Amino acid sequence: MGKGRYIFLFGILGILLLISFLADLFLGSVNIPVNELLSILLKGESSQSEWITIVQDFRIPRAVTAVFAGLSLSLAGLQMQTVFRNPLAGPYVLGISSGASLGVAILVMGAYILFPGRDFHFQTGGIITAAWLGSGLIMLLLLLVSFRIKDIMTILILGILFGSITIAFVSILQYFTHETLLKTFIVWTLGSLGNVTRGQLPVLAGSLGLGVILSIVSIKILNAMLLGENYARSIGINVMTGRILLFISTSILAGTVTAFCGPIGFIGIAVPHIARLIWKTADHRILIPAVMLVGAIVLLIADMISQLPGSDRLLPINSVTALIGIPVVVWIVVRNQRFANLS
Amino acid sequence: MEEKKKHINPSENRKELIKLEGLEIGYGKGKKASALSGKIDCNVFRGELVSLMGRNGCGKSTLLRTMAGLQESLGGKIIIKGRPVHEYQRMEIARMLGFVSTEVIRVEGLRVRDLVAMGRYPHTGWFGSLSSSDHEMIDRAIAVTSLDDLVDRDLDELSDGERQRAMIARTLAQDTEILILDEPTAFLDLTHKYEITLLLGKLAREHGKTILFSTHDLQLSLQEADKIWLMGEDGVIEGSPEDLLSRGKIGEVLLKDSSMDGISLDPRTGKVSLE
Repeated sequence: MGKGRYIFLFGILGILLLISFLADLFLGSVNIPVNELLSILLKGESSQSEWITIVQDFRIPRAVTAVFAGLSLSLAGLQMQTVFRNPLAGPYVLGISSGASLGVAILVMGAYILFPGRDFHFQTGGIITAAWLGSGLIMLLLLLVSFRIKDIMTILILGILFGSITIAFVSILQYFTHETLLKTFIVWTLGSLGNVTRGQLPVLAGSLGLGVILSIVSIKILNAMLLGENYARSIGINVMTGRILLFISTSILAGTVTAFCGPIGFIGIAVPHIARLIWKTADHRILIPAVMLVGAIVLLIADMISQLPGSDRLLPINSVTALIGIPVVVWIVVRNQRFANLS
Repeated sequence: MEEKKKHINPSENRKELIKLEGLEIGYGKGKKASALSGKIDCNVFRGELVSLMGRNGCGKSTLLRTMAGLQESLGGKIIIKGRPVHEYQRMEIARMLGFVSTEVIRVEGLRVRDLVAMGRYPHTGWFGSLSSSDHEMIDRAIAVTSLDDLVDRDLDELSDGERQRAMIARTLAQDTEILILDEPTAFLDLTHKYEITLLLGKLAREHGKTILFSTHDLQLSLQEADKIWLMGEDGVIEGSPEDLLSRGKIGEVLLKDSSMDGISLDPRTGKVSLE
């Protein structure tokens, strides 16, 4: 279990990431031969100019988005599992995705309720901003609460309740809205990695980068929190600072991904367990890079499955991640039957 | 009782390391506060092994948590090394006081050595990188608690006694003068109860630690502790095991209001007998 083994695993998984990334670029409704694909990637030229556009403007942004979203959701999930000491916690336990849904729902459907009869067209930029504001609102609420409440389990329950109440609001909006707008909203909730444009990628990367930095800064706090907040305090950790750093980090990571791609479930819960299983450690100095690596690979694979190779139809990414993620979660629950004694 | 080794030389200049002055413990704040016990006035001298005894629910855990700075007191003072505890920074407390609670820690993939290494946290920088002297300290803590063969095991795979030793090793790596342990021998079988209690005795006698631990095990307290704190409804009575026993205090506090008639404690031998 020495350093050599860790480096070996990171090497193998790194190669796997590269292969999945290239395979994801290769797959799509238009069939582009491998040699043409490589020529577009390496030299930027191809025998057919539309192939260049397809790869550079669609497939690369899509695959890069899959990498970013996968690593961010998995990191957010890891943090929440550690902070709440609950193996079933995930990036959305704080109600972040519900907040984002509310933002989008208010934009997409609220406008119709206020100005019925008008025609609305929504730019992705508008939806992203609305989702961001919605998840930001939930984050602020949660931070206010966590300043006042000492018990971490109470905060977990409040996070879930905040999520439920925002979903209730969303349902009301859905009930009163027009069909076409409802469809716009439902499509958003199915998740998509293909809506991020090349121009938006730097914004996505910058925002997620901040979340990752906050996480790395909290490595020692995360490790101490494995023992629970009391022990963390007794070894000199400022638990309140830790909570705030980690809540902000998680909100940025999960909120940004949800804003750009819609809610993508189960990756954030399942990947940290896969990483723990592979690296056999609880140390966040290893786990943070490990979940990021595994998360990127898993979402790339999910994206490839969602392309339904051989057909020109697309599956919603959220269904694919559920199909991959839920068996992992089932396995965690069955393998680890002493959840009942966790308090 | 006679063969008990008293390690404190009476002529030595005995110093109070911890002093409780009218301490009130409990939960809540202001008008809603509910005190668990009367005012507590007690002290612990440097190098003493003090056993805290009392019936279930009398507030032993609360007292220990309050002393470890993990819970606010309702009134009075806790003075450690001449300074009230609330004047210390969290990090300063972490460097002079190690704490083991009753909470059973189970973390998948957390190895014993990594757990012990967490004891170094109050001494390391923001990212927790360990220096060679930190590693030495960790090795020593592992050696003293005889955990050498278990360092690469998962905390998950340890027996109760082994896990308790690992938790104690973590506080040794923390390099604190004071150790506070909440029922370190609960759940343990007789051998491991003795093993842990003798370890605590060794830490006090050979390593100069000042130790306060709670327990329900009267026999072990009488044999090993330098002093007993008896916690009842009106506060804490302190004294040497022999003194408390001969004054009948132990039976009074621990067996009082017992619904069992005829249960009594022999003030000479410390044996509990039933008629």
